[in-house]
Amino acid sequence: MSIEFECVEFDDQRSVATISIDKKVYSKSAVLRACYWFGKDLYFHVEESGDSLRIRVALRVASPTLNQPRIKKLDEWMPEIFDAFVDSQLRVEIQAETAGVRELIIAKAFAESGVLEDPPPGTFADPVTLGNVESKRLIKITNKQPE
Amino acid sequence: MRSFTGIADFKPTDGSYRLLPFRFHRLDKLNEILVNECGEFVVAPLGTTETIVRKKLLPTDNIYPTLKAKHFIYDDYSSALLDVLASKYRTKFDFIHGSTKLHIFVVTLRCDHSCHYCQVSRQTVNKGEFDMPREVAEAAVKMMLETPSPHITLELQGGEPLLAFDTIKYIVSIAKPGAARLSKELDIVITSNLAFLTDEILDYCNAEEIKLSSSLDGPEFIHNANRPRPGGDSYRVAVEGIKRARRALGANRVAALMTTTQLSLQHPREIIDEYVRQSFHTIFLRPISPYGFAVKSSHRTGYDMDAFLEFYVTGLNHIIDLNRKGYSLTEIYTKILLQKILMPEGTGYVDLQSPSGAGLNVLVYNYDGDVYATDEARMLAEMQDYTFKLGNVLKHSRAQIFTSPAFVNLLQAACNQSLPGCSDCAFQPYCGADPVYHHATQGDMIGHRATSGFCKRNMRVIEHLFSLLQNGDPDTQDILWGWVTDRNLAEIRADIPQ
Amino acid sequence: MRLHTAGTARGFRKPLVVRVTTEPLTDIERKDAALVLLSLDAVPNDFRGYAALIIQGKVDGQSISTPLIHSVRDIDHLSSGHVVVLEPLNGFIRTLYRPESRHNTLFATERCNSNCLMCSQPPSDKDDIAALSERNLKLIDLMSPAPEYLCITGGEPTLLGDRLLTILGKLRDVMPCTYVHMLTNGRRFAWANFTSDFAGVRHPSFSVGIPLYADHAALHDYIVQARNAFDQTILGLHQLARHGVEIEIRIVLHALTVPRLVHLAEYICRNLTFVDHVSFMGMEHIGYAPRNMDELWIDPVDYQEQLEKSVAFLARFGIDVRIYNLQLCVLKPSLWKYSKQAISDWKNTFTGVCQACSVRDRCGGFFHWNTQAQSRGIHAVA
Repeated sequence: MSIEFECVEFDDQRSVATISIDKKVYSKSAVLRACYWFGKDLYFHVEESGDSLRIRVALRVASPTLNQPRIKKLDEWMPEIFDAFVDSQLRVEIQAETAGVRELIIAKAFAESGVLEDPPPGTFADPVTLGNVESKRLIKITNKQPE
Repeated sequence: MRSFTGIADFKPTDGSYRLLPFRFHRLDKLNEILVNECGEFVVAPLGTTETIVRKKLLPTDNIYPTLKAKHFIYDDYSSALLDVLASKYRTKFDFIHGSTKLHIFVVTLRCDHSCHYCQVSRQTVNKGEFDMPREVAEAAVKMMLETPSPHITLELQGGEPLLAFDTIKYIVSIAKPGAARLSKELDIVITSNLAFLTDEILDYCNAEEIKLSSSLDGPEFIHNANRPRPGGDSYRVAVEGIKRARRALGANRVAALMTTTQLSLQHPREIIDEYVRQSFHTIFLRPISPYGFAVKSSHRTGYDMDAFLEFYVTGLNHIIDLNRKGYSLTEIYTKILLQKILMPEGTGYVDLQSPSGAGLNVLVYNYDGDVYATDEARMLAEMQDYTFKLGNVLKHSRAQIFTSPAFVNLLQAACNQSLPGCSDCAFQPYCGADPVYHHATQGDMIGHRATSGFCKRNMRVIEHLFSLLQNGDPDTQDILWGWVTDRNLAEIRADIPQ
Repeated sequence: MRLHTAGTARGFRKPLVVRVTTEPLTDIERKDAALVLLSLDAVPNDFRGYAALIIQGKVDGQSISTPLIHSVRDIDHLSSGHVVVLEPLNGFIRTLYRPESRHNTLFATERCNSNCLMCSQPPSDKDDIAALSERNLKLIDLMSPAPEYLCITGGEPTLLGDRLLTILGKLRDVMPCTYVHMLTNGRRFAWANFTSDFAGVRHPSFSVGIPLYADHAALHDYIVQARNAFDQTILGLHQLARHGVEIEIRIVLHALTVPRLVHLAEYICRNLTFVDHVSFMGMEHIGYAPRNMDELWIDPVDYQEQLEKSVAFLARFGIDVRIYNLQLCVLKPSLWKYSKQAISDWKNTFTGVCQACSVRDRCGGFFHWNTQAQSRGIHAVA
């Protein structure tokens, strides 16, 4: 993990944590998507606060029950939550960079044969066609491609 | 003589590269898995994705050419070969071609069994008004034959379909010539508990090349506990029926499926051993569907997904072990997932398709002519939930079925590419969308991934399969590759270096 | 195995493709035939109607209009049914076809648009396509009986363009039962129209052998010494697959291909699932290879692990695998079942140490020019 969080504050009973993270580093979309995956065990409340996002996290089930005899404590969740924020931010960036080419791939996949296909790169010509035959004895192949 | 160009000329102009679409997932404490749009994957140390995305990767890194070769990145040295990528993508979605291929006819609701997990509101044996009338059968066959696919499967279900044998005969008598006229290949299957399997019926199935699919939930004590019938002898009846059916039709025309209950979960090995004892070579370890009577009797069938996963892993280990010892037995769910992971094709299995196979790949024609998107959708209707009822064969055309509000609604939740959670998931190409399941279990077609049983089960199973592929011993790898390429261990060993 | 000799040519200006006969023929049989003689004094001395005469002895001032080559160095290797080409300028006699051989080739051109570091038949940049095509078309007419198997090779045959289609079409018409295998770098097939026309010839018994040396462009292009070659080859393979052409991928094993060999196997299974065969080839130490040996040399015994893993990957996936040009004693025994004896009969010999080998009959042996750079693993198998 290459990024440190500013701080995590716990309330007195350690049942609610407030995480502050830098909005320049983590987009809101990334944070919300990360929070989504913890929905079975944790509640989240996300707020913008100046340059930060303030995220309040609480356990859905704070005391042990028959179904869940062992409750994971809030601070035990923190490493997973931080990892999720990092991963989620990477995903957002990947999606941003690749959205266009992804649409292109899918369009090509479902286009009729030949319609959206690119011409092959370069040329298949050999030195004779290219007129690169400098002498009969020493021929050099270059990386030139004809127009 | 020509001269040669040094390797320095065969590099990108600078160190920069660009990303192709991919997703990733932490596999364990050491590794993450990167999966591209077509399901090609790379397992790499944690942090690799970050290095790639932050553009810190160097062309001299060992993983760089692998990432290029597997379509994760591209640079200006060469083409990204998007047409090749598109071709692979198209192959994965080839299952869409031809529209609905599986047509399920519920010929009667009558049944002698009272299986706890039954998804049909069964009626007692004598109530004839729950049989499919001729008028409905004709209209349903007509709609079935309008499907563009040149290959279709007609599955006759119930209740217990053999209780309405005359109806079956009628349907087959119009479906076969109809298919032949359109040059379509028609496969016919009857799913039956075999309690009413007369010799006349066997002769008929033989003559018409009809396959039989029965239920075998495990050894006698499990099978009978799951599937009560008057006389309490469902197991004996099933095993007898399987023997007779094999004699009459040949072993490759008789299949068995199991359904998992709370009781089953405690006995994975016994169930599998029963399949071996009955000389079956395929078994399908599937969780119970949360529909129909299953919901009503959930105290008998309800279990959480963790228990199923334990059952599955134990069962799979046992199955692999049996294969290792020379008995050829394929676990079907594993095979389907592995095919999606390792092979170029997608799948014909409805539950793991995206876009969802509901309607697009399967249609259910109820005894009364109502058309449903899946048999689970039909179950919901039994509980007065008509969300996935698409129409009626007597009132609607095929076009109207596929433009019905129910179907259009379903489509909105049909592609996991655009579902919350799924859209970010590395396993998206291997998984599917199941709007009917999510509607039934969570009240919402789109579903909530963090609490979805469908999601949990598929993610954990896929993770388990990757651990087998990465770390499994050579025998395990050979067995799994054999399943995916239809060879038993001996056959695949003959093909690989030994 | 002699395939070439020379003498002094007389009486013709263009190359002559002729069928050899060592026995005199009747009048009607003489068209396109070349009679082999010790001297012009042979009896009977009726030479009218022959396309040419091949004479061991010297021919001085005798007036004879039949094209001939005299003072030929060797004639013992020439038998009836052989097809040879007679060159007017230098008196060369090249054997083009031998009915008794299982490995006949149609040589298309010396031109090539690649320049592989290990090329066993280095290209020449002279435009021989028109002349060779004319020669080959005549050759097809004269091959009798039609061979079971014919290999089109070069240089790069696809540089022939339309002429290649003509040759293939003629093969289809004249000898449809002959299985034709064409060695090509596959690059031109990236151009869809060409591939479509090519497949449109509909030869009934045809396959291509296309080399692929890496799973990524930079390495493959370096090995074949041509930018864009990898991309074109992959696209070409896809176009060929669309037309249902039978495809063999060939991988030459040397120090540049071995490190990523398993990756290449995986690449084939992911991107080229339609290929019919994959052939791993031991490197031939001829042509360019000796010049680039410091980059290319790796003792075959040192790459057996990678080879086995790659073969296993492909075989698990279900692709047919073959291994050529590697002796059984250097191959891991687990790989013997893939080894095919295909070193042409005009190439293979065995060394002294092979006399005691128990599997000599199954082994392909060596190329007779491989006297240097032999594996340290050569030994007689017990």
